Amino acid sequence: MNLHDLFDWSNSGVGVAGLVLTVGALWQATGAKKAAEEAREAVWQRDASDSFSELEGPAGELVQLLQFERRNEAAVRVRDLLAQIPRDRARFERFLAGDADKLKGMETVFQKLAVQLSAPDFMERKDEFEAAMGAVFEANRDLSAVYGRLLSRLDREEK
Amino acid sequence: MSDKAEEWAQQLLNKTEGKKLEWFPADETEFDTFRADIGDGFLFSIQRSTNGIDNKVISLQLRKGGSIVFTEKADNFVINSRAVAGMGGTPDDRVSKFRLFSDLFRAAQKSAMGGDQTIERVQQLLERLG
Repeated sequence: MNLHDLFDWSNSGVGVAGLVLTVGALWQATGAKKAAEEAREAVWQRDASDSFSELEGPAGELVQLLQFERRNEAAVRVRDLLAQIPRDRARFERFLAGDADKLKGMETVFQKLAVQLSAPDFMERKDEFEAAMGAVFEANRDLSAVYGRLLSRLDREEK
Repeated sequence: MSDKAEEWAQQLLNKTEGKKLEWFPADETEFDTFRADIGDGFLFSIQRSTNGIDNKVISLQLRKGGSIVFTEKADNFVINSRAVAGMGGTPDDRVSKFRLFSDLFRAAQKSAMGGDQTIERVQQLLERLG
């Protein structure tokens, strides 16, 4: 084997080693990117469940304010919910799937209630008031179910 | 006495809604107190007072002759669960008591004021004026 062949062989060896290293680096980069995406997705899902957990508090308070006939405070709470629910629905729509429509339904209930609460004598109209309370109870139940489904999905994916 | 008051409030509500008990305004100029005579000199009265923006107190009284036999109140003041626990009773107890008294007040008001029948009658009278 002359010196020229030796160079050829060593060049080929370096080339193959380079290729192997490049493929390895690419494979690692792809894995790292996938891991980063999965981590980002997990954080996103955690954010979604946190946001819906934060909605449960004011929604529960709203029920109690209605039962206690505290019209003005209930009106403030409804306005808060009407600002938060569409924002969270839009932000986390891809996690929500069919639940996004449920949230739209809740927005409709709260929107109607906001209008009703603006009438000073709303709570004096027994039938209308009781129907509104029933609708809010149902919306709260749906909201808890949406939150529960998000948590269950999070638990499954963390396992 | 509170349990007995709630039991009586529930009976009064059922009988009022069943049109077996009639209520009257306690005062011709004020429409926040109503009374019902149950016989033998006993008389129930219910009063709702509103204080501030949202604060309401509903009082149910039993009287005999000119004397007050007992008074029971329900209010919507406290909604903080810890504060409620300090006052005795759970938040649910307070909510159900307030709802019962509020429903009784509305039923008494409807009985005394005539409710839909009054509106219908006034409408007829206005139409008769031409």
